[in-house]
Amino acid sequence: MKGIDQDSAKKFHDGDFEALRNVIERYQGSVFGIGLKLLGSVDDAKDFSQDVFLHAYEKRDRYDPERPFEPWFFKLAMNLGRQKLRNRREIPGSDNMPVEVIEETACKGVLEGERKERVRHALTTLKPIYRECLALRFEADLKLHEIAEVLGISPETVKTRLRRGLMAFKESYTKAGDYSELQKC
Amino acid sequence: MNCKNAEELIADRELGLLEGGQVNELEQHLSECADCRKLADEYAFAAEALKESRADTVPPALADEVLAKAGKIHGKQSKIFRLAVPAVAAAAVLLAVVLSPVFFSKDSSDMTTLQVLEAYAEDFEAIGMEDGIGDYDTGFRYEDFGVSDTLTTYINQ
Ligand SMILES: [Zn+2]
Repeated sequence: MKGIDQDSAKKFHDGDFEALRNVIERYQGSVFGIGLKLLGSVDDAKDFSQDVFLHAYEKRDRYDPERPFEPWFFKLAMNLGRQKLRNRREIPGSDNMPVEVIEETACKGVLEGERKERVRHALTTLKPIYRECLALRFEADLKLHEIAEVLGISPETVKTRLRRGLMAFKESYTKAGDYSELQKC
Repeated sequence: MNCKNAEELIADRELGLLEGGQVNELEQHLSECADCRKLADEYAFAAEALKESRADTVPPALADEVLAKAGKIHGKQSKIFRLAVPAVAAAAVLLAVVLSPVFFSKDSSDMTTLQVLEAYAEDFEAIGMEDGIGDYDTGFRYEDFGVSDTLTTYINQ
């Protein structure tokens, strides 16, 4: 993973505003993408992204500037993601993800945005532990051992979760009837 | 290699996790098994969709909004603020205790002042725990929130 350099990370730790801007610019795509994959809606992903950067900034003295930045940063991000999922559970009737089921659409009408919605919807049918791993792999481009470090589990467990997660996603995304329709697009 | 093993390797391939010798093993099986070739197409299609859905559309104002908010935090994080927080918190606890019979009479009428104070102390402690956000929540279990974490079924019902 190509992250910010250690010098920027140190400046970030010291509260340098330019360094914060660097961090945001470098990681906003990954963080927003993780938010989308984890939480399933653009609004939630946006709130999530803001919260991640603000928390990171607020808690920057917890980061050891002698060590790599990404494990600390993504650990914080994933904790926030879990917190948001947890809060969601506390609201009655909201234990399912708030993404609308996309109606079957003829190929002609399947726009790029709709396809992304389908992907997000398929992701919401997965258990959060699989979504986490897939998000870190596909959005943050982390390697097995990096995901393991972020989540505090073994690389073998990460591999199993990624595999199962992709299998489950494939099942959901290409479920009967959909695949051949989607394929034409 | 049977088809079940092949499916695992197909998934690994899309995840970029295939190791050296496995590439040839998988290709050998695929050359002999039409079912797995079809499956491999589906996996490639699904993985492609996952990659394509990568966030290429970050809200344009995101960075500015974060920086603006961070600026406010930055301003607040002066020494005075650091000293003021505990003082304000303590004052709030006292005020809440004093006012609790008025505002929370229904809930706290049976509580002694000490119990009310303890309840508020717990709330403040809980708020303080957010500081632990940088340490990964290893004790977190989805089962606690009604989500099964068994390895046998991996799709939410
Ligand atoms: Zn086969």
